[in-house]
Amino acid sequence: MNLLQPTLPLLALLMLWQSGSLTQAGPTQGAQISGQDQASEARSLSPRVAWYTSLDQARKDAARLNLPILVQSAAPQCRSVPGMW
Amino acid sequence: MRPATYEHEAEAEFLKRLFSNRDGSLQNTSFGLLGPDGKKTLSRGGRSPQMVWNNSKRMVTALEESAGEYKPRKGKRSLPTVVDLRLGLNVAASDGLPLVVLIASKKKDASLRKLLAELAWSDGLIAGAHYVVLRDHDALKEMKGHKASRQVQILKPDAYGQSAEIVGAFDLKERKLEEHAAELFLLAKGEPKDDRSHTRNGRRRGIDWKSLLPITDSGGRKR
Repeated sequence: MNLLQPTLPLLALLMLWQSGSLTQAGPTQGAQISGQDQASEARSLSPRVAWYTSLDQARKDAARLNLPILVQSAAPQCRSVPGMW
Repeated sequence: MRPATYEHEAEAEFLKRLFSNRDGSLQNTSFGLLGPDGKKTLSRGGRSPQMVWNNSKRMVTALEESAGEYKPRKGKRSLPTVVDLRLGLNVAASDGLPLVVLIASKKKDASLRKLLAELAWSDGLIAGAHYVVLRDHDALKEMKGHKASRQVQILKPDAYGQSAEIVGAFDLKERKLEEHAAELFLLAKGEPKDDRSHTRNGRRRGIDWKSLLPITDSGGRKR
């Protein structure tokens, strides 16, 4: 599904920006950081969309929280081989 | 939201209303923007963001305008789960993410989901995994690293989402859960894939995904 690949980083940025979850990358250069900090650092460096994968759940939360819904559907198989969008 | 296209009948009907082939059947992908009721359309539907908004600038403008129309209410988000383990493994493998499995009896389901949802939406873990809820450990027993005494198991799916290794497990009452989970998420993260070699090797090994519904997109049929 090559069509999607260039768009995903953009979507990720948009969605995380909207949710206020895109963290500033990196501590001060040269600073010592713990293993835990490294873990959260590694996560924050690769922004992603926190997708709901169930229509029911997404609609319930969107209605309750009054949030518009960005819909993307995709098939988790490439020529019937799983593990790839 | 990102439902899997051919894996749920009711969702398929919903997606067809958003975007479909001329004969009304599903395409592999669909995009669009809807109001909070999931019915009001805030954009046209399309096969890609480009088809809906033409370019990223227009998409940003559309999202900002739509977000501005609705004042968010305060509240907590629910745990975003995949419908079952089989699909969860595939979706997690496709994204290169861990699959977090919560084992919860019917009686404890709501309370444990609530606890795990707080973790799932925490700043350090948001979007870091997919989630599945099971009633018992049966489907996990054969997996390497399984710990039957723990409520939450962190799975690292294989490249094709056929099985998984369990890299760690914990109970939801433990202390410093966010840090512990973050470490396990890193261990369970998938390796980058090349789509050509992934597909070629998968076909050589006879790995074949049977979707719940027939694939109706000519570009997505098995060749």
